[in-house]
Amino acid sequence: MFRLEEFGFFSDMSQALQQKIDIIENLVEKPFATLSSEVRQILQSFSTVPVEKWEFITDPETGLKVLESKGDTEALKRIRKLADALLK
Amino acid sequence: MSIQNIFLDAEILLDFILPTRRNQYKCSCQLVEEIGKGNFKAWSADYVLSEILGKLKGEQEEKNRTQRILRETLTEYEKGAIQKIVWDVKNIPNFKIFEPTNPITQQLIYETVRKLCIQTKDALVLLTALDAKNKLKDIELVTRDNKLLVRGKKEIATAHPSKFITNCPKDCQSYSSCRYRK
Repeated sequence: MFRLEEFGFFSDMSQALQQKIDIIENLVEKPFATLSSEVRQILQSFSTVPVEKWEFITDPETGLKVLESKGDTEALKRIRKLADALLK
Repeated sequence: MSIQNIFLDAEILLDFILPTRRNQYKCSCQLVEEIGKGNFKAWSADYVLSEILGKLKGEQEEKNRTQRILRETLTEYEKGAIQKIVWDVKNIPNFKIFEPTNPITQQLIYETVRKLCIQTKDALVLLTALDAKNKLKDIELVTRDNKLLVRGKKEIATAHPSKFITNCPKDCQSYSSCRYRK
């Protein structure tokens, strides 16, 4: 009976082929198994909205507890732009 | 001269945000822009942000229902955009969201509603504004609600947004029917 293992050259080829088949089988069974954690984070970012932490801080002027704010001068422009894109 | 403190209800902010309301209540839009420029110091409470979030979601669902075939849920993009609008409201310069120092109880709300014959949400706004008044002394509650404007005056100074602009724009859609026009 003809056996590949008897010829060293063919033996190397069959081993390499088997390794590739194993990799493909793993991918089919666990599609994300070989993805790095960074890639997984990017994938998740497409489907989930990041949640900003809301924290109350003490206002130095009044002593009242206020929500932390960035006081962004562009905020009003962005609100209008986003609302227009969404609801107009 | 010190900058005047004003307390905003959700309607004033929604007049600025919703494109359909911008031409209808131009005084509210101008007031919000003046706050951004630093001419007023504005205050509000965290539930006002919740009210804005709910209203925006409702408006978006309403729009989807008329434009698409029976789609009641919002997409991730729509939800994210609405959330971003609320975050940006929080980040408006000279606009602070504060936590009342004394808890506003059900009993307090009930008594205010009974005394002034106003809506529950308006009673909540009024009680929060009163809490701010204890610390800030000179603060005026800004609202477009007629009942709150008149009946709230017994407890705190109230004002229509038109008070804070020099002249009402003639092209404002509610100019002819507004009793507070200038």
